[in-house]
Amino acid sequence: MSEKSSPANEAALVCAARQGDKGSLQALLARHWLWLKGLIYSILRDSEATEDALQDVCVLVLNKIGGLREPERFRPWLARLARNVALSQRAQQSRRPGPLGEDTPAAAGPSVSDVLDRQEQSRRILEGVHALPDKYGEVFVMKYVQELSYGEIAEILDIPVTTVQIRLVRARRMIYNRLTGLPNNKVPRT
Amino acid sequence: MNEAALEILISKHLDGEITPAEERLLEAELERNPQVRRLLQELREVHELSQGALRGELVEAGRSPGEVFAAAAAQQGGRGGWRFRVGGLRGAAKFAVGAAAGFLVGWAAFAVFQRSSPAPDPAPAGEGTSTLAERRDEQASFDAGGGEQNRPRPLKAEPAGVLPYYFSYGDPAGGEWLLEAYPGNEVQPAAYQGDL
Repeated sequence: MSEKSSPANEAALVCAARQGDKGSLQALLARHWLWLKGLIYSILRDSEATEDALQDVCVLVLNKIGGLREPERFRPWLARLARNVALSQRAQQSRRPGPLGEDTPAAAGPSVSDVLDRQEQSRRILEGVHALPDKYGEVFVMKYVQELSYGEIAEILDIPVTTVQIRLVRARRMIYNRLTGLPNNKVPRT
Repeated sequence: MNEAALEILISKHLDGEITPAEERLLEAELERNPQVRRLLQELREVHELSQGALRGELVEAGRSPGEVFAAAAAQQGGRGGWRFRVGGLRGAAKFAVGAAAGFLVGWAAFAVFQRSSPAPDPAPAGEGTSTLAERRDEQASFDAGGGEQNRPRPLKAEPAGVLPYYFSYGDPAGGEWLLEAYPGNEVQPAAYQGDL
């Protein structure tokens, strides 16, 4: 569950962090830790690489927090920073998973639970998440890792709420199609 | 209702973002259409599996925020620690820094101006106050012009114990001055009113 906080409270923490209060900065990062981790993971698709990137993001935040002009825009600022770090690391690694549907999907027909046991289900779900295009993957992971609302995700990623909603629908459908072997063109268009 | 709109409703239902009106619409479709019921069931399963898989991968694994932050702070500290920024100072400190900077700039500008500007003309006698340097020049001029002989002399002889009030003085340039003495311990510029 996401930790709710008043914008004023968060802005006060950001102001203190800008003046060098590391405790406030740590509190801010802890508050946004899960979605931050999810956002990086959605790009790097690897939990170990995500841990390394998180540390780099923290260093960058420590160095750059003083330059943040609008304290109330801390979350989108943090998301941009994290996305840039993750994209840069991915470019260095130069190993991207194949496009959606590259792996052999399960045969069409039976339901998801009929086909897979629990561990296998988790593995296949993660494969499906990794295969999502970036813009769907980041929304999907942020939603599930911290149960953020559409509005919160929209604010962090600086996109409209309806875009978040549509991306979630399509991401869920892509994973569903992958698990059940349905063709990928069967994704709702709006 | 088309399939895309239905799927959006199902998605909003799973995410807890559905409105009461949309919920009623979805319920009506579920009552009417078994395929919608199956789709809901399948997407709910994907929803729950995704939640479990991602939480296992990210929430229950990895270092805590405190550990990562401490490592990052150590890494950042090795690069020179927190940088000093005027923008990060509190109001009073910012004012003090600004005032000090303003004073230094003003002082430097004054010094430069003083050096580059020509020496001012000496103030005419009897007008305004003179600087210490000008007074030293006057003293030297006085000494060169005869010293004690040129010292102001009482205009008239006074009885013993009475201080003279008017003095006469002839400057080296030949000018004649009438000086008015003040009983107090002050120095005032002399002025000739033209009515004596």
